Amino acid sequence: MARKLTKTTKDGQLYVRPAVIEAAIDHALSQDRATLEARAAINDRSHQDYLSPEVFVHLIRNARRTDDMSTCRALLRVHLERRGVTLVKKIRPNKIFSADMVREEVISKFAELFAEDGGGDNPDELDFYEVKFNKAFDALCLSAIAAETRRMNPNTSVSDITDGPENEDQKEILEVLRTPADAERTAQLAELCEAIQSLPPDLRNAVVLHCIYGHKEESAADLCGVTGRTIRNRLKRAAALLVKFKETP
Amino acid sequence: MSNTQTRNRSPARDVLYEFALAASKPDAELLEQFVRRYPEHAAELTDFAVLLALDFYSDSPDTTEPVATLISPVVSRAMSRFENRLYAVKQEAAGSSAPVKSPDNPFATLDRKGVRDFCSRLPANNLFFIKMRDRQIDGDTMTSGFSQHVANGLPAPLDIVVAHFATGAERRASTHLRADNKPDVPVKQTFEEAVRTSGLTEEQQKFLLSL
Repeated sequence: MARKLTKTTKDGQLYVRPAVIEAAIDHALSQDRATLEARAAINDRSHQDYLSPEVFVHLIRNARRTDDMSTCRALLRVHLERRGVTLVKKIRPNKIFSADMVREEVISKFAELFAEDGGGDNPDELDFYEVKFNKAFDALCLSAIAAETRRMNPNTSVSDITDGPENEDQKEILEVLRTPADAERTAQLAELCEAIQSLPPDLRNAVVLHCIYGHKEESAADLCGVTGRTIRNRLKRAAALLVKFKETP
Repeated sequence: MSNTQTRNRSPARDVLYEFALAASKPDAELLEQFVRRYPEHAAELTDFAVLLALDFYSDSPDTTEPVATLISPVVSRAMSRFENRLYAVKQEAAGSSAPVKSPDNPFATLDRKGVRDFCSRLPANNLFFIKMRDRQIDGDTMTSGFSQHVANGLPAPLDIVVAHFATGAERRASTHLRADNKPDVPVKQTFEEAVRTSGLTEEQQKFLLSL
């Protein structure tokens, strides 16, 4: 039977695995290593023997905690190969940081979590991965991107952009971002996301907090630790850069 | 009690996990709740929420084709980080009591005949073998082809070989140093230096460096 999770939510509630994951883990735990290795090699998600990432995590942790290091290493390697595929999609080449370097850092950090499991300061960190693997892996991935972006680009360097009133194109692009969500806006946002990601972090944060999350300028300013006037300036500058991006073929 | 300890500690990454698991789509109210609850992590939460929103609205193109060959060396290095961290964790857990065995030395299991066979297959001589066995060569400067070639000649998988070379150099009990100020950590040679300075023939050097 699957070991109980010990991680709690901010309200003190224990995290629990979805029932389907719980059942899949129980089933996998009753199987021998040869069967599990055969299942681990199945990449087709629709296959009845496909091991979901949540089950993978549990099996690797179980092997690690019972000192079955041979099984632990065999499953971990396959699991990391799969995560590598995910990372190639998730962390794409860009002008701000080396995608290869961040991918390697994420996958190595993820591997280290299994070594640290059951001990140290955060013995149950992998519990998150047994509840909603993709969300937890996103968190690891995006926090690494955020840290690297800040490291590579600590300050906005947009001195080449004049600090004047918004022109029509700039107003239009901010309006697209501010318009409430519908199918059309989602498509436009997807188009603009690549451009927004290439903005300096301070401008990018202003745009996303104000236009996508819908925070008022003052509230976005609080989150960024700056004044409302700074946020307004950043929005203007971001809009100018986004217009340039749209004009570039 | 353990719950309270976990809540009070709130490592930054745990807060981000909680946020990611709670957010099904970009949600301003949720972000504000988290920032109020964890003001010490406000900056990380804000950066993270921004990336989460961009990720949510991004169209991820399918790039599944070229990854398999690209990933393996990265995964080998990640496995090496796992082995090193595992070693460190076990050492911490053991504290000052019994010394913890360093990561498995894949060369240690070879007897005299095994060493001779391995050296003739590689090809290598005793000095180069000792440098590999005692981790005197910097694993980062080795080619993946060389690591794989070594693993092929040993009764150990590639991960263990990579982890072995990634670990700090080992000074064996039989190694005597005369200097008064003995170095705490022996300096590792680069792979090329090790090949060039081990008395290997030109042909052996050329082969090993071509892997």
